[in-house]
Amino acid sequence: MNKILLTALAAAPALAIATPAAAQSVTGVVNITGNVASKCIVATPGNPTGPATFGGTVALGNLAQADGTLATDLATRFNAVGNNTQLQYKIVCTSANTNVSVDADPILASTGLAQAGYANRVDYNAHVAVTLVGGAGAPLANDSTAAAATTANYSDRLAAAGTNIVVTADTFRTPSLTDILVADASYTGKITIVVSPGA
Amino acid sequence: MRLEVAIFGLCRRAFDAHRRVGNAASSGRFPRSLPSFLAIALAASLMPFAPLSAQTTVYAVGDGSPNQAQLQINVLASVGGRCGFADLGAPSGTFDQRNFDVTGFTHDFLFSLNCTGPARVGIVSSNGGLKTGGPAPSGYSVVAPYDVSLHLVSNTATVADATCAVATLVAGTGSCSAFLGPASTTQGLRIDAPSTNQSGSYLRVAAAAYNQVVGPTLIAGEYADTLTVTLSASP
Repeated sequence: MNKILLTALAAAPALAIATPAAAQSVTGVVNITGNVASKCIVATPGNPTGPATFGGTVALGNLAQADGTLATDLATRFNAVGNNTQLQYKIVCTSANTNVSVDADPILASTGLAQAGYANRVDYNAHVAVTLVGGAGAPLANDSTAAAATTANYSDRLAAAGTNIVVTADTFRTPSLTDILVADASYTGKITIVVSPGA
Repeated sequence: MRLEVAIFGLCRRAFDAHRRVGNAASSGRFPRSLPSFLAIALAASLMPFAPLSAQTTVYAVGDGSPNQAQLQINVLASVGGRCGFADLGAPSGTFDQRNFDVTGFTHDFLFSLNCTGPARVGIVSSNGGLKTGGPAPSGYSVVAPYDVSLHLVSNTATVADATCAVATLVAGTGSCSAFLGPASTTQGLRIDAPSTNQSGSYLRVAAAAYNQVVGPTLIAGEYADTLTVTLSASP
């Protein structure tokens, strides 16, 4: 009798667990973090030479007019549409603020010496137009006679569409309007533009 | 005769004996109480309907032999699929990559399943990419894409693999058909075989170096995303 009773009682709990368990769901969580540093990236570099990451070359040709004095159309030559690929760039910066500086160096004869009434140097005024996300930024200008660069800090990002750094030049001149340019196979000058992320 | 009929017969005889003996059953004669009868009846009710070749009579001690009978009771039961992450085996942790836009990244979050049957794993991204705060300026981006891969192993040679762009893993709007979470019996990457405390499964996050020139350019800042991994049995 006792055996039968115990067997019956054992069967009941065995059947109680016969129902399949409900599907379970468990969870894990992983985190991925990283950073992007402040920096500027050249997207449209022009035709840079040397160590420059963007830039170009503008060949002005013969700087003198027939009487030996400085040609009067150098600004027109420099800013000609044909030079756009040399003077217009796209640079983007990851930072919220952007620093731009421009430093123009005079166009100098490589060997010719300037005597009285002659000139081996052409000065000019360089301009940099900056386009920001919010629109045109205040343009920068730097004359080649200035010792220091001209700088600006823009509280905005450079525009991500189209070219946003455009270089022009004007006011080409010799120290004296009547100076005769000395002959030289190579007059060279440069405009140095630095674009950097702002703080 | 069927076994349950035989058992009811046994019960009836025992009950009759009980009535004959009355309170004198305190001498230990079988059976001695109504609960005993009910227990026997319960046992009988649990019997499968299987034919029995012969009826067996069981006597109370002193009234004859045999004095006991062995009853075979077949119990059918099942155990629901147990499915979870192994102890200390849930995907967790943080992976950080400085300057990820320059270097790109690849990282595996290892985890171990502990499922006695098929299971599914689903993933949900909180941001749909590595995201930094603030609105995106025109032409720039505040969300960096990357890929998420799942590799599931089992106790057998069966494995499951899939990859989705993290942008497709946003809950409610994601389009990753392979393993957009949360996991359920029908949603998520399915591993068809049991995987009990099996190491080797991983969640991989990866991205090549970003082309900041082509853009959209990622703005400077701290970026983050959270992936929630859910696991469900999938019978």
